[in-house]
Amino acid sequence: MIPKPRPAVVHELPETGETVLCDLEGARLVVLNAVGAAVWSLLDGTRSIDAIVDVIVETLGAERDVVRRDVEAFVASLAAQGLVDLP
Amino acid sequence: MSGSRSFFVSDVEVVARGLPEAIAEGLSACFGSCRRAPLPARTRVVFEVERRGDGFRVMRDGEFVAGAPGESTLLPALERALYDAFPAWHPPPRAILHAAGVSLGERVLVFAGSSGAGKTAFARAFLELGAGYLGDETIFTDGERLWGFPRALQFDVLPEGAPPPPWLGEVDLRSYRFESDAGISVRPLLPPPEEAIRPGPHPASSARVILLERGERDTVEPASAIDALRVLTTEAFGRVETNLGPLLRAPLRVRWNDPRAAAERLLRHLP
Repeated sequence: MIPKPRPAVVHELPETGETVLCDLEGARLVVLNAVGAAVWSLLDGTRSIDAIVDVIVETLGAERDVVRRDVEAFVASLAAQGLVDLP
Repeated sequence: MSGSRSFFVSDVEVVARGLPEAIAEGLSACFGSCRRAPLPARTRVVFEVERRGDGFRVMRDGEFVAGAPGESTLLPALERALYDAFPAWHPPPRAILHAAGVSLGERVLVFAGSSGAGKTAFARAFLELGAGYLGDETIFTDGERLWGFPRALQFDVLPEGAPPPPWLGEVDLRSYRFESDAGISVRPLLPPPEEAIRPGPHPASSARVILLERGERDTVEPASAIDALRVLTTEAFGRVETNLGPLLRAPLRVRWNDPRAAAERLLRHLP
């Protein structure tokens, strides 16, 4: 499954280092943690969820099943907020 | 006889031609303080006013953009045509924030809030306290710099002949008279003092966002960066496709009843 990100702006908050996603209507703001920010940056409309999980597993050395569950939940929450389209 | 006027919006030189004398004076009263380009001038846009019977047509670079049935409605029509062009002149990564701005030394205070929240009132209060002036309505940013449009401060419209509210004080009530569905109205204007005009550009990281709200008392408290981001993005003119992160350091929320007293209270909260 290849999630398609909607156009959004990434804001980095200077004090907390958090990343905030903001859709271009400005109606929705989503605060991302470091992993969420990494996943968002990997959502380029061509990578599948599997491919994203591969990169994260490789980068963080975390357990694949755990990463997959987290990535799927995160992408689903972005989809629920209209920031990602799922085919 | 017709007059022309020119002024700068960011790096755009705006030239208005074919103006009836009273309209030329009205434009000077509104935008005479925008004679300096805050960014190196890049282009020139010509608004041409053409008389058609009793009415007027406003052309922008040869294209019809607004009409006015008479002279008393021409200045608001011109202003609207001007502001309507701002987004096209500020494509991404530029954004247009609905905010007032003043400078205090190296720091810039960006006052954000909906219409009536007090942007102009706070800009005026800080001018009286000796601050520099970026503008009372629009602040531009590309995420690295921010700059203003230092037009004359514009206060809420009054019906013609109505006594001005006492807090207006020394404001030029003659400059901008116009007609709308509500009848003849007056837009009170306050030109910024020449020495206070500092549109920038300033580093975006020098900005401190102040969220304004009307309240029963004057209070100052920290606001979350998320709240500031929410206000800046929802109150912007057009889309914000700019990382506003650099502007979001330590925002404050000011609830106010008396703008001057609240401005002084805010000053005491700034390091």
